[in-house]
Amino acid sequence: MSRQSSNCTFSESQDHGAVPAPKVRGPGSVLFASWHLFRTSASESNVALHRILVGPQPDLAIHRSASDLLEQAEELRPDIDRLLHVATEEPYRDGMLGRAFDVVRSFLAKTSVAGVQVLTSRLLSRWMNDEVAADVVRMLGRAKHPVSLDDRRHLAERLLYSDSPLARDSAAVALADLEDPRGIEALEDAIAREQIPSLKADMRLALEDLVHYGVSTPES
Amino acid sequence: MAFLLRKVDRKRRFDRLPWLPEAEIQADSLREFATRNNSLSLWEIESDCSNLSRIIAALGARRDSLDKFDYALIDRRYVDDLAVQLVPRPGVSSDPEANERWHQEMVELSGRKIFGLATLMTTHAKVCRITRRSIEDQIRDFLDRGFIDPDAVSDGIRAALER
Repeated sequence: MSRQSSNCTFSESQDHGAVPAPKVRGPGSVLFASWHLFRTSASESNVALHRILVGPQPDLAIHRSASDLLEQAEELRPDIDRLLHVATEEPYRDGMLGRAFDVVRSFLAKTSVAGVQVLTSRLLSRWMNDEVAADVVRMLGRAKHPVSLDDRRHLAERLLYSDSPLARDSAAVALADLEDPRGIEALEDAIAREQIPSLKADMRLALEDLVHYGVSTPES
Repeated sequence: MAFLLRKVDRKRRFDRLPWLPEAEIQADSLREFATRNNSLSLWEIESDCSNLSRIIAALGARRDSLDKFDYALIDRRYVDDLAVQLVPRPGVSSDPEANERWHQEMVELSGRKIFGLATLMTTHAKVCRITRRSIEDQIRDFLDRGFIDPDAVSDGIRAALER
């Protein structure tokens, strides 16, 4: 028996309210930066990142990691610009691995964890097109790149707070695709606050998938 | 009471959003009805939905990879009220019999009719989702039962099923 979303009913009146701000989880500097960058523009992002991480903070490790990240951001800008351009030109379609997916895969193959973090900060910036962010998170959810699993999961968890229903939907599906049970809590929280009934049902479907098929060592 | 199935790329385009006036549709939903040669591909679903899983599996098996499957299902009588022409034509899926028996094309579509269809789909269709895992199970099942032609399964799906 196939599992379908429980919203397979004829159209009903739906409503969705304001999405609350994301919670900051974990003490990691990059995590904190991502939270802040969620609310900053692409052009502001490096400055914001610098202020948060390289500002007058006593922790030298944080200072170093921020500098590295800024350096990586500059180096990776052309690759990320290209990735976002292709994703804009060729919207993701379920089950179809087009040129955009190839670009995402080759980006992951040549980059480090920091590269994914830089991409994440771009995707979470306020100037990012919701549809492009939704598509890229789906592709990142489908790609195999164990070393960046945590960052891809963090990105999906943050997009669950997006104002865009499409981005929230894609983030939920991406979490299921990542098969990382650490995403369960964020998905449960998203379901609790979701105001669009059909999207809430689809998120439950993603959660069900994640609970049933999530493995302790995903992508192995 | 038969149904018509239309595969959709973005289910959220059929959601009722708070800013959307009653009886109006999201502009983006029109992108789910991109025509070719003023025609649109649809699949006929039996009144008891006995061929629904079979058609979804047949369509899923031709994709590059296993993925969720979103679709809209509408009572055919609503579509008949639009006075559009539905013509039986061979479909493109991994199930040769389904291609001959259940594929229809809506032809000679005007912009007004497409808008009417999009409105109908938004207001009266069931818009559903099958998960990637369920699609995988269904493809295996219909392959085992001989409905899906193994040669018509994409390389990506074949590789995924062998894993």
